[in-house]
Amino acid sequence: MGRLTRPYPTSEGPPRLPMPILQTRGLTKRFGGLLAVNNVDLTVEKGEIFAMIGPNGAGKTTMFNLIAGLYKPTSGEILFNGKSVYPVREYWRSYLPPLAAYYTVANAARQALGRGPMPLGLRPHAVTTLGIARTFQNIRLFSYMTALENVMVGQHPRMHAQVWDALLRTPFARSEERKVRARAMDLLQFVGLEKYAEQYARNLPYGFQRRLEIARALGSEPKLLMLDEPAAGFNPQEKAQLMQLIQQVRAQDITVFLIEHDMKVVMEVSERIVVLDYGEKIAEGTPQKVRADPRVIEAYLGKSA
Amino acid sequence: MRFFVQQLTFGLTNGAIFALIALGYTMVYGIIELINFAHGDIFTVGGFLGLTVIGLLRLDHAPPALILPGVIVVFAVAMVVNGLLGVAIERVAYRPLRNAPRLAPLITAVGMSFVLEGILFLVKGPNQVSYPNLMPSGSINLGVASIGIGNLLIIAIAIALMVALSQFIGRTRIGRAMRATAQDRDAARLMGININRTIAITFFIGSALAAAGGIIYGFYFQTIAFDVGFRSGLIAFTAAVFGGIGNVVGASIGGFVIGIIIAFVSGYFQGGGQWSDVVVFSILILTLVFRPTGLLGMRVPEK
Amino acid sequence: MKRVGSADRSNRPGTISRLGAFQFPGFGAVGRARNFPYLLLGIALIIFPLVDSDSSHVNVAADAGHWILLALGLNIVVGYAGLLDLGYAAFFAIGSYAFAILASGQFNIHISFWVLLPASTLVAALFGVFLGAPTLRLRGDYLAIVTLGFGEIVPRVFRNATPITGGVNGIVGVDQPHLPPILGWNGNFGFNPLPYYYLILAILGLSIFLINNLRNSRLGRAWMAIREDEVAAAATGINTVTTKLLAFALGASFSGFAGTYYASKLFVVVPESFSFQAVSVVVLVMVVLGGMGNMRGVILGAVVIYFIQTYLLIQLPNWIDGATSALNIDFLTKLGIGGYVQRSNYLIFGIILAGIMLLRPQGLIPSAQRKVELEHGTTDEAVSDLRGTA
Repeated sequence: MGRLTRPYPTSEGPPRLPMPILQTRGLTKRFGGLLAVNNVDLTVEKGEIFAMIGPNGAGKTTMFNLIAGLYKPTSGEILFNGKSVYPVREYWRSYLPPLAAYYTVANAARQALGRGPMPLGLRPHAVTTLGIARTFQNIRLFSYMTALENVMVGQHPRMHAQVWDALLRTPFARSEERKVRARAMDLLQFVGLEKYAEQYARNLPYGFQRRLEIARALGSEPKLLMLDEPAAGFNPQEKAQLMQLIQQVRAQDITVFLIEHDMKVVMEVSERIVVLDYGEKIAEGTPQKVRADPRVIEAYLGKSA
Repeated sequence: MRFFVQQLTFGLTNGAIFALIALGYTMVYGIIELINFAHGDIFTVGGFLGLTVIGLLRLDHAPPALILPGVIVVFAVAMVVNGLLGVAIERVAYRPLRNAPRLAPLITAVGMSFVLEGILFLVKGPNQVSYPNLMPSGSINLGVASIGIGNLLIIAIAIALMVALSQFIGRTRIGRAMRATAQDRDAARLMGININRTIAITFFIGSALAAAGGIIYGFYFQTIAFDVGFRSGLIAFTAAVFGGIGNVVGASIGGFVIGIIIAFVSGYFQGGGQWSDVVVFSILILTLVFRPTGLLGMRVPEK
Repeated sequence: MKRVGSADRSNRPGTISRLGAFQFPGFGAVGRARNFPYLLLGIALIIFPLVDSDSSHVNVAADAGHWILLALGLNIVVGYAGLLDLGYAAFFAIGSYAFAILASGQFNIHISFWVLLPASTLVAALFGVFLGAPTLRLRGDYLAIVTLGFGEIVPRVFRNATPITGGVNGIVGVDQPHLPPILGWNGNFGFNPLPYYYLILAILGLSIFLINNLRNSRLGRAWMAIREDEVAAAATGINTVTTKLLAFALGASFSGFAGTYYASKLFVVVPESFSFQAVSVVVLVMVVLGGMGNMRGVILGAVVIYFIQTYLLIQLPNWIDGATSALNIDFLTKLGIGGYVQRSNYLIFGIILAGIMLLRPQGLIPSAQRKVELEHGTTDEAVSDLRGTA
């Protein structure tokens, strides 16, 4: 297997299985007349650090939002761990014959009309519960909650306390709260913010806020962590710290998928890169290969280069 | 058949009033994405303003020749003053909260609604106040039924105002600025559009139209009270959503359609008057659940 | 693991404001010290009717009780989850009428109060779910209007369904609770306000306990997250629709609960007592005045507004009339200034709502978060303003 013996330019990761954790096939998103993402096939291998780059407006954040469930694809498929990402409704397919009938008929009709299968996508919270966590380009923390509380909220999908547990403060709820609080402190320590646990998120400096958002995302025990421009606004020292953090995340057996503009960060930390331009994939491969690809250079610098 | 025409006329006239109010709701929502709860009460204030002007000019006792110019003055004055009131409310209550979380301007709007109702309640009392009808009486006989001239005039006035608004938004520079601000406020600002002024103009126009609606209400129902705007406002808002929120033509059509529906429900069903509100509310819920964009709208009221 | 921040107190918000209403129970010396004033208050509330001979005071207190309960319930919806519910009176009406229909002479059904209390709570919660399910997906503005409409429709339906609900005249002769005889009391609630007072005191105590638990739980955090930034909350794995629905239904159940108590105490239910102006807005003003999301503040807000509504606005005209005639400024009395004061509740409520949101959004008693914002100001201003982006 060629992939297993490929040299890794950065630190060692755990042994790689040849199973992609995330795959998109023919993913397309149209906003009215604008074709934001056009037939993109993407593969992210389990345990790697994968980056998506491209000029502004290339459709990177749209791709993220599609995978994260904020947008429904116009057509195409998204596969997580080999299984198609269907809406929660689909789970009822096996229980509610009328609903199953509807979907079957709708799919057949769409196919007959020459359009792709029914565009389906999970809602954002279901995506996170599935194991994909994300951060936002323009940090969206809960500003009036403390850092610790932010990370505790991050663990919401992995907690099991229900309404009555909350109302009555049952022993189960209490012990779960203790565990969650402890794990939140661990996560804060992991990103280096344990001293700021009781600080309100609003009052933290910019760099810490980005780290806090990563800690919150890690709270949901994701298998895939998607970072949207994590290095934006960082000085070189902070960028180095971030790259180290990404390595540490990967060492925890979490695949990292990032969008980034800073070429230095991308080239140094990622193992494979995909390049988008005008919504289409124009290159894919190792940093060295992508850096030398003439189409990539053209996209960034224009035809004269 | 006569009953049908009668109800239809009633529905269209009533609908004209709703449409005029609905325009204000839809324009304000289109531009700052806020449901102006106080708008129904601005409608009421407009009606009272008209009444005051009529009283000042003693139009209810005027010779017939002076009525038409008098009414024009009434409309003009009330609409301008009401427009200024709308601008003032926006400036004082909504602008400071433009960047606050969604809940804050909503509650402030409810508060302003109550302030307006409170002032009217204090000054005019809880009871209905009579309103002189300055519309021409008499009707046109169509053979199968007759339609009041007053009704036709009301509908005509309303349609004229709607068309004027439509032209204004579509063709003038300010209208373009309003549309731009509604679509993308930051881009509009970058294009050099004065956002504050554009929003103020939107409120002015909406409140002026509401005043026209209020005066028409007074003429038609010959009575007005401090809480008239509450119910009319809710119905007008339903009309705006039904027609497509953010869409001026939609609000107009929605107003007329809802007016007709109410007329027929109260006319053809025993005790229908009681249940017309339930019908309207059901239309609201159904629209929001099944077709949130409304008939003509493009904006979806989801996040 | 080292306890964070214990050595550095300058950055931490004060513990009392941090924890909001009292933690129940308070462990350790600090806990006991913190809760002591509330303990005193509780004892005072229990003793006061036995000391105060004027039973009308007890009646006033018992009535204030259900308003406080309503305010606590609406606080869950508006304060914790950030959903503007303008039709809160509808659930109140549902609770009242459900009880009145099933425990009065109307159909001669007489189910026990103690059975109907939880039952009507459940019914109100169900209605909350019915109303909320289709509409909680929409933006807050639309939810507000829809709840407003619902709050208008429900009393109207009750007014029109005369055969079932007694129409305009409502239902008279609602049953009153009974308890087994204790301590020389025959157990009939009757028209005696005292047992109602203790009942509502117990209910309030229980409610405060439950709501406080809610706030410091997974669900409470989820509500706060949704209120802050719904998109981020969804991305964190919170199912926003079901979480909001829970808030809505819980709030509705408190309202229904209060409705049953109200119906049994008042002995009569009429549709007029459940209007937007009479109930929904008043409770909203209580919550906004007290500080949305702040339980102590909301209780205080409820007491203040109740006092204004039922006492001040009624007595003030008399005082003013008395004062103006004593000072020989009779013309004011003749102007009817007393009457103006009495009719100014709309205006006062409107000014409170708009004024608080514009000038002091945190309400009377600032909740912990707002207090921190005030203390720390914006010195460490984040590059991106988190609330403006949506």
